[in-house]
Amino acid sequence: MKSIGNLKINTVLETMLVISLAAIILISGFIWIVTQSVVSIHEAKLFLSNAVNVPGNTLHIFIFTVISSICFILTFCIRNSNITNDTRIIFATFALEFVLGLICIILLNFNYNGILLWTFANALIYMKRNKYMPIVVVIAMISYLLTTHELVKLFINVFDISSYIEVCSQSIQTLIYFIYNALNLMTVVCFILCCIIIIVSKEEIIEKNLELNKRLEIANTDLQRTNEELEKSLMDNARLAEIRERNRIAREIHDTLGHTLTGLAAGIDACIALAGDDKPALRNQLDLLSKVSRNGIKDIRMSVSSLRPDAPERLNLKNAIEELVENTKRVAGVNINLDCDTINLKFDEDEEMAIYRIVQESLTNAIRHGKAKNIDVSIKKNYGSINLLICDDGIGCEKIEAGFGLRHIRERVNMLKGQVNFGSDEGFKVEAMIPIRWGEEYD
Amino acid sequence: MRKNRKVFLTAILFIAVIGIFFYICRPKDTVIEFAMFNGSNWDVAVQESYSVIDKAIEKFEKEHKGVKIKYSGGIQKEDYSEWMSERILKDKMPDIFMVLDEDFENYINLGLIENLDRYVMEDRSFDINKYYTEIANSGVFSGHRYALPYEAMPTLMFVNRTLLEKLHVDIPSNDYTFDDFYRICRMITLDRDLDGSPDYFGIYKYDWINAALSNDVEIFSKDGKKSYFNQDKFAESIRFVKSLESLNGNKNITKEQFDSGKVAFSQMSLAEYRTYKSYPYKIKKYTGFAWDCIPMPAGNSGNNVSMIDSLDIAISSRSNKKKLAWEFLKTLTYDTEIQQTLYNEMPVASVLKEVMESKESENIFKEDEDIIDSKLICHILENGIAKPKFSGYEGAISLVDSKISKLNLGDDIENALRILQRQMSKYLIQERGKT
Repeated sequence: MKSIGNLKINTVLETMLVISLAAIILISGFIWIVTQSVVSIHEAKLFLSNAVNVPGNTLHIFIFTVISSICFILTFCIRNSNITNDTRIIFATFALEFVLGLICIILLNFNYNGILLWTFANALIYMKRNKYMPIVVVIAMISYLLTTHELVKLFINVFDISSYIEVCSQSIQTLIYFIYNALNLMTVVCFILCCIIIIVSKEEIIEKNLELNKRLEIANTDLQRTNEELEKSLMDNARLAEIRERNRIAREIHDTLGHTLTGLAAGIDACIALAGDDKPALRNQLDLLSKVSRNGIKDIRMSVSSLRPDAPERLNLKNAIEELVENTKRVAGVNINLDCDTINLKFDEDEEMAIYRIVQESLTNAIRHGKAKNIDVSIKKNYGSINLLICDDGIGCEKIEAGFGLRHIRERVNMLKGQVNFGSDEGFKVEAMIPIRWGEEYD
Repeated sequence: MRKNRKVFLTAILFIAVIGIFFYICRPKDTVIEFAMFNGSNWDVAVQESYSVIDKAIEKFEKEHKGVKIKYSGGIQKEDYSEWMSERILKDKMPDIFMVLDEDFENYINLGLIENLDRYVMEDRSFDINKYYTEIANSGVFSGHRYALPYEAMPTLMFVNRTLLEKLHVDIPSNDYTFDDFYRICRMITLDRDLDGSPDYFGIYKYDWINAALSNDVEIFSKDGKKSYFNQDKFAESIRFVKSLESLNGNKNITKEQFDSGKVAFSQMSLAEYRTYKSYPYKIKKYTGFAWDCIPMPAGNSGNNVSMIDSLDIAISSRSNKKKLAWEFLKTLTYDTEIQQTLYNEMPVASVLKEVMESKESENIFKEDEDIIDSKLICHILENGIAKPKFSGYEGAISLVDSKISKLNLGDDIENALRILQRQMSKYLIQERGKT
């Protein structure tokens, strides 16, 4: 249980129960005894002429308060002895206490309402983590206010215990007043103690929670970072696997088909040598076959090299692009402006390939479909990404239909988690942004 | 689990024991308790004070089968208030009870008396207008009705017929005024044997309250919060009383002088009149002369009216048989048969107009050849002023009495009344402050 220092909350609650029950029993008993004595000395008329209200049958009130007190002790025991954890039963004990308390207060004409504090102190402790807590607090405040004697007597006639005390002899009066006020004050003090204990224990819980939260946050950040790393390594693996696969296929073609063809060409050359100059028709035929087989070897080489990242493999990216631009200029007879502010364009293999293919595809499109005369190619490196912009002054198109070329571009960019836009205002425009993997840029 | 069951069993047993306790203690028969005091409220001797009540109970029990009315006899009027107070403190308040004027306001303030407005409104067989208005209003306090009148008691003027005949003075007619009355008194107080002091006296015990009422002066407001001493009509009434006193040679007339027949007039209640006019009390008092009663003299602005006192009956607000109590209250105060019996057998007036105006009632006064006629009493009841019932009334009256008795005819009465008004306002505020 909760405590401040050595003061256990149960001790406070027990003290409070004893005080509040003593108060209601003493007050009702006192009123009963005074009424009896007033009647026995035949001062009833005088007493009534000074009275504001008559409480009814004082003996019955006394008996009722005693019975209520027993109920209060019972409900406290039920809650405290861990017999039940059923919230409905606990709630029922509070409701019973509240109703009994209110009846006692009304019977005692609001001269003591500390019994409500007792019930609410208990309710506060048991409903600490309940969503009904604010409702309990509001009910407690309102009911305590509305049962305060000084307030109630402004609106309805209620007897004041002082009118009963004044019947007693002067010497006892002080003592009774002292006991009455002391009981009243002690109840309030106990209630405040309960509240303090609740607040202190709540604060401890809050502190503990805060600390746990902080640790959880740290663990979360770690987990996130690890997750990112894992994802990246997975992607690297995939890329590596793809490159490895392409290399394997290229090697396979080169080694098997290339070898066969090379062997075939060598064989044909041997045949040419054997044939000599006797049969010119055969020799011509063999020459033709030799040429075809050499062409086949060349074709296989080209295929193999296209399976392998080609141009950038031979040159660096910038030179490859420059060469591409020069070739296109010369072949198609168009004017191409290359604007490349970065001298060192050196990225990962797949990135370089994507950039190269985008430029190549865009140029081909501009010439083949756009009938363009002037093409602007701009490659700009930003912080962490590379931006490509290829504009032409061709006829463009009204509706962009993604053919194989454009789809290919989009796929390549998406694979690198970049963005690509196609536009057709005046001529055709391709705009792509490709994020650059960090830390792998080197001169 | 076993412990759990044990606690629940204990709780159930506990509740059962309480239930049985209340079941045993419940009332078994419908018994309505009625509280009344022995004897008369009007300080006269009565022989069988319970006869009318017994008859009413008999009638009520016949009409309401299974209901019993219980009352404790033998409580004297002077003990009644204390007895009631003790019953109230013990929470054994009777369901229906006679309420004394001195307790009326206090009981209302304590919330002990049931507000009858609803009963009067809702009971179709009940018509409040059958009562004399002023008497019925005696049960009204600060706008609400708390009691119904049971007996009415008008104040009359006693006349020593023998003395007047001896002095050859006519008995004044029923509509005589202050001036007529003064003239008659002056004739009676003439110094016939020339010894310097009057041989016979005009009036004994005629108070300023009645003089004021007959001159249309309302002294206190009904709720006792205001007093109206500072008015010319009141000054005139005081002058009249003082001039009557001065006719007696400013002597204090004693009871002996009155009993020996030397005084012509005196204030007298209907109760005294009816008691000492009839057997057996007839032979006890005023045997040396013939006497009668007439109304009070009328002031210049007023009428031949006087103060009407009443004995009211109220229902306890703590009763749980209020409906039956109301029925019994009606039997006592609203039933013409019971009220007629009351008027016939007791020295009081009925509170119902119908009873007072009945043939049977007319005959009551004819037996002894009296000059008082039933119509006159009806007239007084109809026009009389009810005695205020706020607490502190008696104190206020004795305070005013002491001030007025010091006044002389030659004094500046208006000024004295202004001072009195101020003192009285202060007194009333103090009295109200108590509750």
